[in-house]
Amino acid sequence: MMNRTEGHVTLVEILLVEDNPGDQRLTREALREGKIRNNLTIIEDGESAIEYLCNNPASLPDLILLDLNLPRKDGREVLQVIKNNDNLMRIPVVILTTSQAEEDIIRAYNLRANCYITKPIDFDQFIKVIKAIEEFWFTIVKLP
Amino acid sequence: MTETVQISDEAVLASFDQAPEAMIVSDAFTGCIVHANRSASELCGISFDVYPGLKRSDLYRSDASDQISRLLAGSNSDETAIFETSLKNDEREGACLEVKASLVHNSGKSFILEVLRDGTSDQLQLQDLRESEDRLNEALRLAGIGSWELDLCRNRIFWSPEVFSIFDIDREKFGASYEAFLNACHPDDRAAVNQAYKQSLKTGTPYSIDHRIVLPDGRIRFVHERCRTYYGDEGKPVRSIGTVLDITEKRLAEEELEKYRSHLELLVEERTAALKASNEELERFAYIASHDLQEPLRMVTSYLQLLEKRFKHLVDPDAAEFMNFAVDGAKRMKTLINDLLAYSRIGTKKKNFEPVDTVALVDEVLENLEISIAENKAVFIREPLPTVIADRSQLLQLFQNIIGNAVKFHAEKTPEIRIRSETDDAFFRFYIQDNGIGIDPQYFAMIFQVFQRLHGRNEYPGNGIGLSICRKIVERHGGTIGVESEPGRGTTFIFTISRSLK
Repeated sequence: MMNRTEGHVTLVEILLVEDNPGDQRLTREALREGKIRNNLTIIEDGESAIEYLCNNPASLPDLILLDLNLPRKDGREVLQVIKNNDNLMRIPVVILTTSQAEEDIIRAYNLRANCYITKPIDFDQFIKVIKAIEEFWFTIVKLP
Repeated sequence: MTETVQISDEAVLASFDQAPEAMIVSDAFTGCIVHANRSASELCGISFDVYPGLKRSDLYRSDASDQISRLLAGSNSDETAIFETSLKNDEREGACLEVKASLVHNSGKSFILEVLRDGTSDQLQLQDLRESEDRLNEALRLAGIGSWELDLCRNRIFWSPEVFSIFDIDREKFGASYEAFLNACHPDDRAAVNQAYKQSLKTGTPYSIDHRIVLPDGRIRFVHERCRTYYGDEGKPVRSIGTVLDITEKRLAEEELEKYRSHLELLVEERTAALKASNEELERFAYIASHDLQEPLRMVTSYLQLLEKRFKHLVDPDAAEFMNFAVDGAKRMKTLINDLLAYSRIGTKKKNFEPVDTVALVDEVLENLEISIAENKAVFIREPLPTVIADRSQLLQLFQNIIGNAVKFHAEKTPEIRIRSETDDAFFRFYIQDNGIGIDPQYFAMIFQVFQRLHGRNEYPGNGIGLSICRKIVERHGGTIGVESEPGRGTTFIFTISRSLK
């Protein structure tokens, strides 16, 4: 699944589902600081995200960064669709949200989110978090 | 052939003499007593042998001569005359002699046979009975209790005057049957009354019921009825005797009271619901506001930082300092919002009460505060503590905030913190006592309010949310929190946890 160029640099596909342009840009900036070369696709609402994932079986992302509060279908519904779809269920989904509410956290894990991260307010912290996500999902864990 | 049994005169006379009944035989025309048996002698206190020629009229105060004459005139020898009189020599008050006289013919002569019975005690008993009945009736009348009797064999009801006045029915207009009574009951209660009475007949248990009756003019009264039924030889109910009491006033007063009570309850319920709704609204508002405030705040800090990072070399030191202040302010605001969020979440969180061993809980708090305890060399004295029903994470926060404060606000000397508890019927009461800087009593109320601080940030760090959270947690556990202190003499926080939580 991972889109690798033999013997060369790694280019990973990341899907960001996020409606706030400020956050979109911040994530892009943070990813730019990271070591791993990536191709970032941004989708702004839940319904489009589901459509995108279901209609492009040939080019699925390697990682999904999912916000919870989205227009139309929210992140929880997107998560539910992904984790109940045979083609999508193995894609790691990182919930990246402002919510610290315990209910949100529990619900996300119940829906089988791979991890839940509250966006730090500090930009340097945010960069650290994004780097950690990259590091963990693209170099440490083994994925199919 | 029939055999005639001859009985000698002697035998007849002997049995007459031995008979337990007192009997006197006298000449029908002269009234002279010709024979009296032994029982008669005993009853009359006279030896008749000694007084030959004694007449009936000498014996009785009144000899009922009219009745005797009628007997003599009558053709039917089976006829008897019954009368009451008394013996002339009987001085007892209320003395009574019951006499049953009949005509006997023998050898062409007519005799009067009289059987005597002392009815004095009967008479007295009857009089007593009448008197006590009168007293009872008077008592019933005074109490407004009507009495009734239903003859089940004939389906006849007897009502005392009080019943008539309770039912407000004229004696002539009342059908005096069970059906007539049922008819006077309120239509909605009729079936229940009938059922209750029939049930009591069947089970033999006394009948007792409150029901409504409708007076002839349409007014409604409440009555309380009770009765007991008497049964015949074959277990068949024969008659019911009962009472009826007008409880209309009592009932109306009760209804009025009930109306006030339910109205009051409704009011309280409404107010409570309104209060609860507004509280929930407020908590939801605080939650949403603080949650939604985070997004723009994060934008402010993040982009300020990004600006600093990318263009620091382009701005002068003043601009850099200004950016620092802006970032710092935004970060502090973020903490405040988080505190507010934590505070509002205490109330919105689902209740999750379970048994919590507070000894283990305090141990966990001390572990969590390990660094600060070690830094300040705090000493703890923990007395035995109970197991309570509580939300464990909230209780942990409660103890941690108070113990944390006790460690934080220490004086010069080594901090010594004592944790103990008391238990009464309704509450577990916890005492957390320190020997720290103390609090001026004028600030006691203030310290439990949100974002109220008594010290500068440089002196003691903190946002002033800790004790407000404590109060909210305690209140959520049905308790109260308070403080006892004097500046320089340490502080004791006292809080209670309800024992009736589930």
